[in-house]
Amino acid sequence: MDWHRFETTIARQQLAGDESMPSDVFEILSTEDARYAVYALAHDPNRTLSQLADFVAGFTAMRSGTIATPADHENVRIRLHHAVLPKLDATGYVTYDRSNQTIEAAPRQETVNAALGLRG
Amino acid sequence: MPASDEPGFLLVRDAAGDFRGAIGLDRLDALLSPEHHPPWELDESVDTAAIFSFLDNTLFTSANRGQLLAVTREIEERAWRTGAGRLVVGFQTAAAFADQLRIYDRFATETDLTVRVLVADEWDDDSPPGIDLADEVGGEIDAFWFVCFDGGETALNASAIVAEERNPGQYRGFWTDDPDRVTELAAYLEATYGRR
Repeated sequence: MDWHRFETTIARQQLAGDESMPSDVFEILSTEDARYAVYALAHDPNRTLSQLADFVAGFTAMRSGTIATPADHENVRIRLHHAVLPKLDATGYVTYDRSNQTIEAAPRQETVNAALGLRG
Repeated sequence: MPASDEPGFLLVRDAAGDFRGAIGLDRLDALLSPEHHPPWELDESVDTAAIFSFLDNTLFTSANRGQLLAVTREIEERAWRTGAGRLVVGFQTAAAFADQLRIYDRFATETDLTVRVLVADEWDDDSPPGIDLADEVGGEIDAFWFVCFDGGETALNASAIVAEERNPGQYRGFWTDDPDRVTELAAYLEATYGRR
């Protein structure tokens, strides 16, 4: 799987207003956290909140050339729990169990992944 | 899960499994393989302090010379910046100290640091002015790479590294900026190798 292709797809759709992209998904992807989360979930949707936060915090640090601290990680976890995952759940991309903090694939995932250049 | 076209990152957890930190592998590489510049010529873009606190109190089981040099340079830089306090450094060979003499000479002459240098084998030259040098110390000084800076009066910048050469060029040990640990090490060095 290719980060660059994913990023290019998003950028292209931003410019062209591509119809193939469901607008609800597109809106969620306006934040960096959400893009990194979707990128990780396209790879493997069955994760815990904390595992997803590990990836998002680490990927953010890598992309920005900084060091992620435990406070950064906690902030990412909170944003994923309160904002990103409920939205992804509402669009049918994943199922988010808020009390157990676990994530599973939902029916729309395949279609959305394909539209985002995130297949295989 | 590194992306195929991204460098990936390192994630550190503590013993309880809690997140300690994360850093991109490309950034980690840059921090751990610095050119060895003296402290007053440090490239400000390379933040060795960041990596230091990130991996502080970390036991390492396999580090190479470049990595130890990066940490050593950070400790020397703190000593230079603080400008006072006691710096104790061990050199496995006289040649290794000769390479660093220019740096330690400036520590001794341009700061209020007390500099104590222990050389495992024989130092042929005169003792450099301002540096309290003991040679032919042998023993553990021959086997360990160490630098210990007590941080001066405030101990704010106290830091130390101790590493044992397990195989040629491969070290294990720890580094720390925990003042208690540094004080302990400094006291040991003073008791064992202090001026008699």
